[in-house]
Amino acid sequence: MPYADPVEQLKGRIREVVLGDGEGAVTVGGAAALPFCAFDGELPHRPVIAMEVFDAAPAGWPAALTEALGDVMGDPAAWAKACVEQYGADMVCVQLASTDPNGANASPDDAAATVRSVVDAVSVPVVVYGCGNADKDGEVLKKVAEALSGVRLALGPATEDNYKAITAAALGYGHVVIAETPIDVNMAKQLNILITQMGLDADRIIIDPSTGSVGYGIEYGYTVMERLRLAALVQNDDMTQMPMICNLGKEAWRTKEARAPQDEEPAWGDAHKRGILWEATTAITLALGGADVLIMRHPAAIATVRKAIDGLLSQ
Amino acid sequence: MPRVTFIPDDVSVSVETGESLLRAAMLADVLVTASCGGDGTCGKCRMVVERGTVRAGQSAKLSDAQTAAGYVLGCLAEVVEDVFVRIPVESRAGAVPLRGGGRHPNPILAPEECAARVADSGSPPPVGKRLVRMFAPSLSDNASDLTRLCQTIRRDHGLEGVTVSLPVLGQLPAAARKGDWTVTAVVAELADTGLWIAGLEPGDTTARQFAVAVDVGTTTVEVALVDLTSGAVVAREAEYNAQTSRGEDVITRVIYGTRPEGLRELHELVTHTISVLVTSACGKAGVAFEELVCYVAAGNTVMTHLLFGVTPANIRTSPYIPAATEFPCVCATDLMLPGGPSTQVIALPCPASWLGGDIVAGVLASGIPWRDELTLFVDVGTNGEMVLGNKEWLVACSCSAGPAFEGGGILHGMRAAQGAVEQVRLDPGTLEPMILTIGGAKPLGICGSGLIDLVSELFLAGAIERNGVFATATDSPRLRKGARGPEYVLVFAEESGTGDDIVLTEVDIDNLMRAKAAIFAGISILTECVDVDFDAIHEVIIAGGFGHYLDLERVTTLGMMPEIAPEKYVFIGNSSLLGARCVASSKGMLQMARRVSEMITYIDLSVNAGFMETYVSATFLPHTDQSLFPRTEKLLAERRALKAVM
Repeated sequence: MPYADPVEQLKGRIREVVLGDGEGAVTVGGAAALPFCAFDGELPHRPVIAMEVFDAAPAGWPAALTEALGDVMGDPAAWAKACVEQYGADMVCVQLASTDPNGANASPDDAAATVRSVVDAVSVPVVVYGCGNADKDGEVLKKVAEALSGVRLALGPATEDNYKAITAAALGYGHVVIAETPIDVNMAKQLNILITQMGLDADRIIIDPSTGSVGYGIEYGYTVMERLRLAALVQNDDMTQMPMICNLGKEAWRTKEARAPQDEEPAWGDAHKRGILWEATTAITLALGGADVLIMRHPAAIATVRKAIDGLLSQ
Repeated sequence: MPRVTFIPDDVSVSVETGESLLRAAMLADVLVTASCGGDGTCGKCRMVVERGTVRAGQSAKLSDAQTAAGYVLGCLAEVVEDVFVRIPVESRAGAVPLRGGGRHPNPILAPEECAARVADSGSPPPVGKRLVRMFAPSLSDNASDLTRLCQTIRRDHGLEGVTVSLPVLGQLPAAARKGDWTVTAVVAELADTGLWIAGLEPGDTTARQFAVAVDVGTTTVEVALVDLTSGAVVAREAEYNAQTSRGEDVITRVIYGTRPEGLRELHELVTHTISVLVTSACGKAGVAFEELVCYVAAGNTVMTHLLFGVTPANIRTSPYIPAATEFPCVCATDLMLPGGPSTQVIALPCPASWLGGDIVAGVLASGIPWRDELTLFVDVGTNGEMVLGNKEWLVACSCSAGPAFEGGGILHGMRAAQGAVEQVRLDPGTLEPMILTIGGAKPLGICGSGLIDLVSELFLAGAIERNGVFATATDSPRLRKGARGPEYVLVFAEESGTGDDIVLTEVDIDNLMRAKAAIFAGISILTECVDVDFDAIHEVIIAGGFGHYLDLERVTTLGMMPEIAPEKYVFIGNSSLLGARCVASSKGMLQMARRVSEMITYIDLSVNAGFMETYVSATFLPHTDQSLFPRTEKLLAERRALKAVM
């Protein structure tokens, strides 16, 4: 009997989620096999990279980042343009860090104006992340959703504490919700159930499973992503069949390994390479875990990850 | 039993004579507004008796004309015969009568039903009186007193190798002669751990021998005085464990015991509680302390340690082991318990640090060690303990459910006592409640079964989301933003016995969610580890304080228990006391208790890799995996559909 490669029989499939509108729309998800296992089933959409744009010039970033990004850092629209035109980003992720009530406390209107400027500047889909304060994010994202009605943004993070406000906004103005839970399969499922019960279609939800960076507990995040994928594909568990997004840029660039200048840690080698490698390694790990959208920060890290994904897909 | 038919709902239920119409309506799932708990003060639960009569007092809430027209207050009208009762429109908060199948109070097994479950070989009590008629000595039969005693016991009772302590030997010469060579020996026959004479009395006193069964609970201590000659319980007493003043839960007690003098203090407090109860029971039954031959105590592992004055401190620190799982048989006077010099104290073995003699007693009392069928035993309390198995094997686990079921950690929670709201139904549209309290008194707080009812009703009505938070889109005046966040007002101040509103907060719901999740996760882990489906369980035995009115449907609605057919559930009451009683009257039972203790495979959830995950998946209503609760999901869909047309 001739040898035939064994094929994993999978019952489930990840939903396809469309982001953006018109010609620039991008579909993510759709996988009928485990990540990069195209020999087992169809993988219609490759993992995409959403490059970060901050709503205000970030302070305290290491030289590796500031030197690479240069002057655009104070201008979200210009930054977004650079992401797409210079670095080939598949999407742009607006980080509304300045809306944090413990920081600059920018108003929902300011935030909506920022997102508007970014959406106008680029033709790729736009992901919008609030500052992480549940109440404020609820207010801000509602305003953003309203101001950009029909653009089909991805709005997040919707948590157990503010999913109602964000889901209602997404429902009303035609956007997609990013449901974030703290590294737990069951909690991810629970939030998806709660959101769909509000009437939002399951193909308008993306899971943010939360993650750590390499060296900071990425194993936990990876394992949870892997298990979510297994539940979706092997057990055909409806409420886990959403694409996943990983907000990893901030995690990677928060680490001491990515930030410490060379004179502080001479034994660790070139500080520039170090940060980029840290982000790239984190991103590749999460792509292997099943991430459909990778939120990244450094152009060189993005180039490396794209190359790695190309390589894995061409196998 | 008389039958009550409610119209226009057209449902009927059978109830005990003397039960109130309101309670009957609750059982029939017939919704009536009732906000005072059955105290007769709110005057809302008006009903019209159309056929048959009820026993009802005059109520100031009804006019003479109404009374003449057959109006009664449901809570004050007692059922004496078959009746037809109409629920007038004004007694319904909402328009939609909910059709339920009607329920019956959960039957709690009667003592004889319990007795039928345990295969009693008719063996004598582990400590009991034996009549010893010795031949009088003579010059030709000049064996010593002791040889004579032992020979006679061997000859008449077949007991070989009886030992005698020095104090008993000291009593022998006088007792034998005073009784004219007839003595009554208190013989302790603890199966494989010894056979000795604990005391001697001149003459025949075998007609008077009593044992005390004790359930040493963390919260409540209960004793039953058993007449060993007839096997009957002649007195029963219960009281809060006096240790409660030194900490409500087991861990706090363990910590308290590590203080200087703390251990002695806890030991004295619990023996004091038992002494008070035994003194009272003996007084009522006319039993002298000297007539007590034995105590059989069943308690969790920590309580058993404290009863014996042995430190349980090491249970709290790694590797979490107790001082002993089997405790020696000692003299009651050594523990400062009432009794004569021959009164013995036996404790049921505690298989593990978090699985005590109370559970061994419960397993015994529910007859599992004699059954072929797969049985699940669940003791719901601050610690939820579950045992699964049959006569061949037993697995058990223990999970911390928290005190929610006993009213602890609930803002207006209380124990199941007079005035506690124990049953709740809500109008799904207006959320107007129908409540019943224990004793029909003005509501003082909410007890475990009331809490389960309330949260499940709010959930079914769509007022609580699956994650246990209040839904925002509800416009009932009873749902409001309180100082502690969103809350539901079950009883407004003017109708409560406390003078304050009785409310349910999100923190309360959260505590209940954790408690129910722990119970469900424990059951799941047990069934998973032996790889059986819930369907394979033949019977579920619920032990503990949950009484007649724990609504099984609501328990599954919350996802606390798996969806097992309701007829498979059996309620057994205080199984710890029951098991202790069994042991007091049969040494075969003591042997079986020891076997059970050795047989049980204890699954330690604190080191179980799957527990946390199983637990988190259960902290959702009813469960993250909705396919586990098809009945509840169907009910939910029906209720939501009903709400949509209202």
